[in-house]
Amino acid sequence: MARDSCSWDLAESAVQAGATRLLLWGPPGVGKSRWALDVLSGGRQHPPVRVYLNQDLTAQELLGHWVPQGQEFRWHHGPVAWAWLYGTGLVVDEIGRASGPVLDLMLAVLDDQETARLVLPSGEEIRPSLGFAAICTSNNPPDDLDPALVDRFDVILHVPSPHPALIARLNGALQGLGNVVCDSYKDPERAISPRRALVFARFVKAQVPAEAAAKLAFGERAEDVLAALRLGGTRL
Amino acid sequence: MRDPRRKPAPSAVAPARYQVGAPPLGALGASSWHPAGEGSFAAPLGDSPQELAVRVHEYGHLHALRRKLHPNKPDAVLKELKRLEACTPRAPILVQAAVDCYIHGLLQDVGLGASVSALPVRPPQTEDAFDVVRALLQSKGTDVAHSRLRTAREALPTPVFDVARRVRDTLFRKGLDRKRLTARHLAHILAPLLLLLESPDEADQKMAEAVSLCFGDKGEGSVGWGECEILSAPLAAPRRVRPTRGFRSGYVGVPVFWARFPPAGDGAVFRSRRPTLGGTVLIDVSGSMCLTQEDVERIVAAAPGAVVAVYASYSGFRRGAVTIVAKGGRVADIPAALAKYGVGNVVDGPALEWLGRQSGPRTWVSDGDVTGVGDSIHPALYLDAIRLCRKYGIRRVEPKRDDKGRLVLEV
Repeated sequence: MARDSCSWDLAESAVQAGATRLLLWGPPGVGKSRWALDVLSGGRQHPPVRVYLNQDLTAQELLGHWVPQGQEFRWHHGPVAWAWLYGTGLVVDEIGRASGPVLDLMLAVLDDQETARLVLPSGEEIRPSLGFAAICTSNNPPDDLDPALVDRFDVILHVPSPHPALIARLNGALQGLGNVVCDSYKDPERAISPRRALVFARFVKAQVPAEAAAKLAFGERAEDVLAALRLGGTRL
Repeated sequence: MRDPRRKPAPSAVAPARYQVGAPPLGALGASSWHPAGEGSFAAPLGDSPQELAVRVHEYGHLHALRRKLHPNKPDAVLKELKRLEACTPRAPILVQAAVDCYIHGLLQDVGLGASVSALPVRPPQTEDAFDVVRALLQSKGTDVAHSRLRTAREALPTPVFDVARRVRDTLFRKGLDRKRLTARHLAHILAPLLLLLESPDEADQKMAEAVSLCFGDKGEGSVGWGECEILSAPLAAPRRVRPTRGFRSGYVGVPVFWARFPPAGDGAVFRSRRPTLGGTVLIDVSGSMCLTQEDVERIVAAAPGAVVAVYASYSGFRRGAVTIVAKGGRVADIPAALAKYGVGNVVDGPALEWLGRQSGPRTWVSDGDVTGVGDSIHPALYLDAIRLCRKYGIRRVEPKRDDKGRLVLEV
């Protein structure tokens, strides 16, 4: 289990080597979920299912629940049960923000392929189909999670910097922008958010003057970021 | 933003983890960067144009450090200045100001000239020439550039002002062109200015001015000294070595100073002549000196007891020679010795090296112009000559002529 800083290349190799339970953690906006969706889209019949966890989300919403239909109640599979049954990818965002019951449910969801099984309130017993894989993301290190849950991941990766594809996208939007954003992540406390950078590039493309675009996108940091971009060779 | 320390973006300029904090006492800002380690970024974190200008200035330094555009530490420049005999106690201040000037050119090039223009450059103490030059260099590219230039023009002697302005423009242009400023080159640019500022000696000033004239067009190439031979002409004719007029008290000679008789005195009652001043005189007999045979003979006569040698180029402009024309009580046939010389200098450096190995006091009779192979001028040759003069304690004496056209040496 690689818990130290590692590169995106390592994540790619883990997936290629057959890892099906991954936890990616790192600063926001580096492309964790995007990468997870891309990885889990390949070679499967259905697109991956994505769920955003938060304190208000209940285990029933993920697993399934009864819904009234006319004079009777009908069982409705939640996204997790659906992903199990159809063998699709499951992207679980912000696992660190989930409520206790949801984290307890995740113990079963992320269990080994061979032993994992759940009995639904409908009486149906489900098992993860072949092809099921889950990638969870978090902004915080996994230290806050239950050790039993942490143990269920094949791989835990720290991704401290933006994905190369995201950097290329930023560079495509504005020459040198991606490189500057990537460099800024060496100091995570003062990193330039790729999302903000994309907004900035969009405004510049829309003929908004660079100073105004920077003010809109980066707020108080506008002048500092603009100076860094100009020194980094970004044409404005 | 809750924590203002999260505002600057130094890692976007030079990737590293930074310690961000307030500037050190007495400085506007400071920054350091190392690719493998932590960096530091100390600058004001407010929103005023002045505070932003300091931060942008520091970003400029970080960018230059990352791209290796200017020396990482002043030590390398100081070492080079030491080699050029131009490292003075206050040199580090001028090195920093020079690098700041270069950074302002660089920031101008990337469109950040307006951001850095509000930089609050500390006003100079006008009675301190060194501080005036510091402010002149640091203010280039800022709003106060014109006022600092005016102050410098009023406060500095004209040659110093001319060289300082030339240094400032050279450094700023280098930044603007994004040319790499090596420690060696920076030292060569600063050396004449430092020599002018630290040495009131007129001779050095003239040579430093000559160096400054070579900035830009000839500052980058390299020219060496010509090949030098040490010849000794037959010292045939006798030479009148006059005794000195001065006397001194001592323990040998004629008893004269009775007041020093013991036990009240120190016992040095005897009088003896002071020894005739020896030393070595080296005369540049190249074309620019316009010395005649009589002039050389006059110099030889004016330096009784000294070893006298002449030097210049001969057989073209690739080689030259030093010829000893007077030593001890003998003198050579001076017209014959001068006959073989050409009009070029070519071997000033090796000749000064020779002079450095002779007994002192060492005097170099020269107009201060030095040339290398091909009789070409180059700042490095001037600096080498200055370095040799400083190293060996050589005093340069420039010959002048009186109203009647006679040679006058202000020894």
